[in-house]
This record gives sequence, structure tokens and C-alpha cells, in this order.
Amino acid sequence: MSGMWADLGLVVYHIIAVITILYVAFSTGAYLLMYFAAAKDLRKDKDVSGLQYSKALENELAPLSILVPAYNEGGNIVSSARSLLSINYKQFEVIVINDGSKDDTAQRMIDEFDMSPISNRVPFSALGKSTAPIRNIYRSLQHPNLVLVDKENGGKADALNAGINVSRYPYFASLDGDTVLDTDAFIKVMKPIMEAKPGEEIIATGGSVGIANGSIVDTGYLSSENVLLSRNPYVVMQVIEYLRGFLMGRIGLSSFNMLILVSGAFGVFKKSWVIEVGGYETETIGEDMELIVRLHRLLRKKKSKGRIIYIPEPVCWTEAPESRKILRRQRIRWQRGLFESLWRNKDMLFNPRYGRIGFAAMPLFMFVELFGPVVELIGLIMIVLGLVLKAGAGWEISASLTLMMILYGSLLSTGAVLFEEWRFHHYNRIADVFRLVLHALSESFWYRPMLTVWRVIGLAQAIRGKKAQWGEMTRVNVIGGSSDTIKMRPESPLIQPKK
Amino acid sequence: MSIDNILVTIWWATVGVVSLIIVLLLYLMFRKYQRNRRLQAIDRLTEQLAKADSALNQYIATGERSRRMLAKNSLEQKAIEEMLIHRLSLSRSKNETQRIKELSEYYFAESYANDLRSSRWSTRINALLYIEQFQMMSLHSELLQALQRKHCTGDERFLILRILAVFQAPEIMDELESAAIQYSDIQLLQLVLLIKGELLDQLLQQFDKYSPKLRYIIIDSLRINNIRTQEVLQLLEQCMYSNDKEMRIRAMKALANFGYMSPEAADRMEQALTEQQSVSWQERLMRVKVINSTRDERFLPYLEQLVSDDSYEVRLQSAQALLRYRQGVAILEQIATNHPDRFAKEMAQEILERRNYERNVG
Repeated sequence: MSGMWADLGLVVYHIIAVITILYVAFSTGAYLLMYFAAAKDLRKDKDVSGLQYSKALENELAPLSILVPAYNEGGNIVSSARSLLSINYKQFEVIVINDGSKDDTAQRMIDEFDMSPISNRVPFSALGKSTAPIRNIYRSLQHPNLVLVDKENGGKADALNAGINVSRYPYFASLDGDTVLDTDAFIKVMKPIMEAKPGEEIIATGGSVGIANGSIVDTGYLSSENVLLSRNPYVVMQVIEYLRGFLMGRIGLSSFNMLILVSGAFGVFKKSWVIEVGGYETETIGEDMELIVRLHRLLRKKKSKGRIIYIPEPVCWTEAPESRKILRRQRIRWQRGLFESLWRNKDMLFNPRYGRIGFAAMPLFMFVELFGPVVELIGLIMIVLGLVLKAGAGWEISASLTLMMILYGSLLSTGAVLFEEWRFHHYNRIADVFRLVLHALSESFWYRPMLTVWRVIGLAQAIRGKKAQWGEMTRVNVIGGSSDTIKMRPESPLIQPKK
Repeated sequence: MSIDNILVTIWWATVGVVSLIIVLLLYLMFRKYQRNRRLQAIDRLTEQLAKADSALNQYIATGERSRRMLAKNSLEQKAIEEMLIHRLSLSRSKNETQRIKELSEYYFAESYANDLRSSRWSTRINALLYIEQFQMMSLHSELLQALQRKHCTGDERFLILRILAVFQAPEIMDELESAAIQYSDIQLLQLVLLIKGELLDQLLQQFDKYSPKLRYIIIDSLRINNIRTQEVLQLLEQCMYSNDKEMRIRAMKALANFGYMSPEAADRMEQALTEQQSVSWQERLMRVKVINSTRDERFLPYLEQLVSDDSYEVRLQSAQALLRYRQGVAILEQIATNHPDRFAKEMAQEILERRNYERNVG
């Protein structure tokens, strides 16, 4: 009797094993495709002289509104605003939106920049959706191009919407209060917009995000000479992860106009398009990704030639979590955000009306990014089981699965390090490169399984959350924490993992 | 496919990938090592070149060549290139700039000409960026050849056109219309802004023959380059009443910058203002800007009217324009206290407040 059960178990085990292997092979294949697309792109503009940007700066550029949502950033808001006011750019305005901070964020701005209330700048709501009440709008008497919007708390997306209503210029950049910019960030991002061919329109651009930990930040800016690799293993792993995600995933997707994620840390959008899709969605966690998906939807609907592009150059730097606890919280939230974005736009999945977004980008995100961790977790369990039971072929399968996973993760990561070296040479010490590759190799043994578990928890929470609020969305008020930046902010009770 | 087959495949794939990773790692380390060595060497050379008594600096300062100035290898070339670019950005005297250009010609003209024929896109682009920086007139014919090549991409073509414009090469004139089709407004503007002297006269003479897009850009370039001649004034005043709305707006913007209007044009403007025809807010805004630049007293009542305009920008500009007239402050104070329109009131208050602040600070 027990023999039969054992046999049955083995059969089930084998079936799962085959499925897992096929899945890993499929996602490796998908990434390899993007990898080659990216490699082609990167090789092309390898080593172009920096002269191109200094030239670009001498020209007339489109005016830009820079939106900075701030929540409890009294400590650094003044220096952020100051460094933005000194950017290399001709015509721009900086709009700081105080999202009902509990500290003195607004007061500090008012004192520092001689802000006086302007009652007549009635924010006319082009967006056609209400934002949390605005208490007052101030303009600096020292800098006519610095505006402060003081409003009730409504979350980051709501703050950005208020900013869009107040902004004057045709393009806006969304920016987190704690983002450190590259000195030429705006030029790098606006250059492709300015050089779009007649009849082609670029409606959004995003740039790479780098990790600033361990580097030397000088007066709110970080130039590439000052980039150093942190000593913290969590941070090194995240550096690799970012390189991989940005350099490979996004360049690949962008070259097919399938990019469905522009970093919340720094992106530039054409205002008229964002207004047309109704601005940021306030009741979601990953508001930046959600917006991009809706923009794509509109592009398809209008059969427009508009593009959403990605600039491989790192244009901004953020502080990555250095402790396990915060990293865990961040990843659980990202996974939930991803689920929400996909869920909200599930009608696009495999819908012929949405072309490659429906048939390639969405499924890729869904199977590889959203459900991938589940399959990986099963794989991990299989490996452990196989090793413990050593049952017949189970052993070998486990061993091969293990290798498959190592192969999958490490090769891609090493490749990302190579891209970095080809294109940017940010990490100039041989020891740094060696450390990056070594960490990339170790990835599958600790970092990836850890992430896998967190992402599964995030997915489970998201699905459970959906069930609980079927039919009516209760208001989730999560501020900041876009899918590319980290905020040490109090989370709403909804996000706390259940004990 | 049986499990065993799958296994064998995986095993082989694994072996392949592991070797690939090792090769990658070695390649990376090697590249890093080479690159760092090269950079250090260039740094050392640049340091030597930067010394005040280096042959290069001697030459730039005095124009005397010495035998020590030969570039022996590609590293030295690179160092000299960087040094010259750096000096060029600092140099203020005509003589120095001239010598730097001559020197770059002597060292690099040949290698840039070769680079232009390279099969690598980035090599060609870099060569063009340097040619532009050093303004190497001698490569004129090579550039024209490069323009004709099959693999000349849009980016390259644009850079070549920009260099031709810097040289004031007559060939640029025949390329403008096709550039207007191929490139964005900003890029076209970059080209037109560089055109000066005789070529610019030609451009103005043939103004009516060009496509609308190119005409807009020419008007913009006259404004940005602050060209204030009788011909330009005539052209702008003529375009101000074109049938094309976009043209009117751009011409007025340029005229506001010109800061002068002929009496006939002023009369015509006044007539347009009294006619009360409905024009877009952008056009109303530009009218305010034109009026603002002339400071003609007869426009005061219109400005006063426009402080209660529907558009925020128009109200702002009109209120600011009022400040430039002698009785403007009094008018603004009047509006701030007892104008029936709330928006006009608030705008006047804001402008007065800012003015007080600026006077206190100033």
C-alpha cells in the first residue's frame, strides 16, 4: 500500500519537476531575447563622448515642470529644492507638494524661500478628478519659478495630481523628495524628447536608477566619478538587481515600445497625455506603473505613433534599504503593486486590440514577474524534498533544477555587469567588478530564495486583499514607495503583514 | 521526451553556461584592467601637458613650435585631444583659440577623416563631435562625402549639417528644407541659429519660398539671436498679420523681444485691440508682450482691461506690464482695492506685493 503511495508521489513529483523546468527554460528564453535586444542597443552608443550633452545644453529646450511630492521631509526638503533650482536647464519651475505632512515641511519651505500665498492661482482641474483639499498655494518671492502647494494628506498619487493641476508647462517630471539626481539628468531625459522626428511623439521617458549607498553625494548631486560600491551585501545584490532590471529588461522592452514601467523616482511625461488618461490613480500601490499601462492603452486606442522610451543612462540615484527588514517590506509592497496594476488592466491581457502590449508585455510581467516566484518557490521546495528523500530520479532532478536556477540567475546578472562595464564604467575598481560578479554567482543560494518567499507573501496578501474588498475598493493610503524607491514611512495598517 | 533526456540537456546547458560565466568574468577583469591602465596613462600625460612650461602650453601662449610636441602614440594623441578641448573651453583670446584649432588640425585632421569612414557608429559620431568642437574647416569635403554615404544615420546627418552651419558653408542652404522634414523643431532651430552674415541675408530674401515650419524657425532664430535690423523689423511686422495664427504668435514674440515697433505697426495694433475680435489667449498674451516692450502710453487702457482677462498668464503679463509705466503703480493700486473682478484684484495685489519685496531686498 505504502509502495503505491510512494510511486504516486514520485509521479506527481516528476510532473511538477518537468513543469518547473519548462517554466524556468521559458523565462530564461524570454530574458535572453530582451538581453540581445539590449546588447544591440548598448553596443551601438558605446563610448559616445560627453560632448553631446554639453552641446545640447546650449540649445532651447522645452520648458519643464518638476513635481516634488513631499511627506514628512522637513529634514531635506529645503536642500532638495535648492539643488533643483540650480539645475542645468533653461526654463523650468519646481512645484513642491506638501502632502499633509505631520512635520514642518511646509513651514521650512515658506521660511527658507520667502514664500507668499497666491490665492489667484486657482488650480483648475484639467484632470477632471478631485484631489484632497488644497489649503494654499505659495510662490517664492526669491525664485519666481518655485511654487509650494500645501494640501491635506491624500497619498503620493494624489499629490502628483495636484501638482499636475498647478503646473504651467507642457512636460512634467515626477520626482521623489529623496532622489539624488545626476548633474545632467534633465538634459539626458529631455534630449530624446526634443529630437523626436516630426510625426513621432514621445509621451514619457524614464531613466535608469542607480543605488547611491556607499557613493559620495555632493550638494544633492551625484556625478559618475563619485560612484563607489557599497560593502553591504544586501546593497550589492540590489545593485546587481537594478542593473539587470534596468539595463536588460527595460532597454529590451523599450526597443519594442513595450515598456510598461517608468521609474517613480524620476520620469518625464507629456502633460496633455497624462491629463487625457486622467492622471495618477490614487487607490493603487504602484501608481507609476499603472499610469504607464493606461498611457499604452490610450496609444493603442488612438493608433498613435507615440512612444514611451527608456534612457539607459543612470539619471538618478536612490538610497537602497540596507537592512533585511526594510527590504522585505519594500518587496512585499512591490509585488502587491504589480498585482494591482495587472489586475486593474486585466482586460488588456491577450486582447488583440492592444497588440504587443497585450500579447507580450503583459503576459511577460504576469507569468515571469507576478507568478514566477510561486513557481520558483515550488522549485525550491522540490530541491529540498529531493535532497532529503533522495528518492530515485528525484535526486538528479533536484540537482539539475538547482543548477538550472543558478544558471538562470547568475548568467543574467553577470551579463548585466558586463553591460554596465561596456556602457557606463561606473565601478572603476577591479575589486568592485570582481565583487559584483561573485555576488552575482551567490545570488541563487540566498538572495533570490529570500526574495522569492517575500514576493509570494506579497502576492498572497494582494490576492487576499482583493477577496476582502471585492466590488469596493477601500482607500489604501500608501505614500511614496513607488516601485523603484524606498521610503522609511509609516505604512497603513493594510500593508502590515498579518501576524 | 523523457526525464532522462531533459536531464542530459540541462547538464550540457549548465556546463556551457558555467564556462560562459567564467569567460565573461575573465573578459570583464581584463577590460577593466586595460581601461584603468589606459586612463591612468592618459591622466599622467595630461598632467605633464598641463604644466605651464609644457611644449603644448608654450605653443598656445606664444605660437612657437618645438620638436617635443610630436604625438608618439594613440595615448599621447588622446591626452592632447582632451587637453585641447579643455583649453578651448577656457580660452578667451582669439589668438589662442586660433592656435588651438591649428594644432588640432595638425594632430587630428587625418585621423578624424579616417574615423568618418569607420564602420562603427559611435566612432563616427565622436569624430563629428570633435570636428565640430575644433571647427576643422579642412574636412569640409570629407563631411560632404560622409553626407552622401549610404550608412549615414539621422544623428550623423544632423551633426554634419550642424558643422556645415558653423562653417557658414553654402551647402547648408540646400539642406534646410529636407532637414525641416527629417528633424524636430528644436534640431532645426539649432541649425538655423548658426546661420549668419551673407547666408542669413539669403535666408531672409527667400523667406516666402520656405515651408511654414522652416519659416517659424527662422523667426524664432531672429528673436533668439537678437537680430535688430530694419529688414527684420519689416519682416516681423509683416508676419504679425499673417493668416497663419502660429506665425502671428511667433512674430509677435520676436517683436516683443525686438523692443520697437514702427508707428504704422503701433496704429495697426491699436486698431486690432479696439476691434475686440476673439483671439486665442496665446495671441492676447503676445500682444501684451509687444505692448510691454514699446511702453507707448496709448496702450494703458488696454492693459488695464487685460488685467481682468480670463487667462492667468495674460493677467500676470498685463499687470507686470503696467509696472513699467509711470502711472502704472497707481492704476494697479486702484485695481487692487476696488476692481469688481476678483481675479484682477488678486493679480494686482500679488504684483504689488512682489514689487515691494523686491524693493526691500534690492
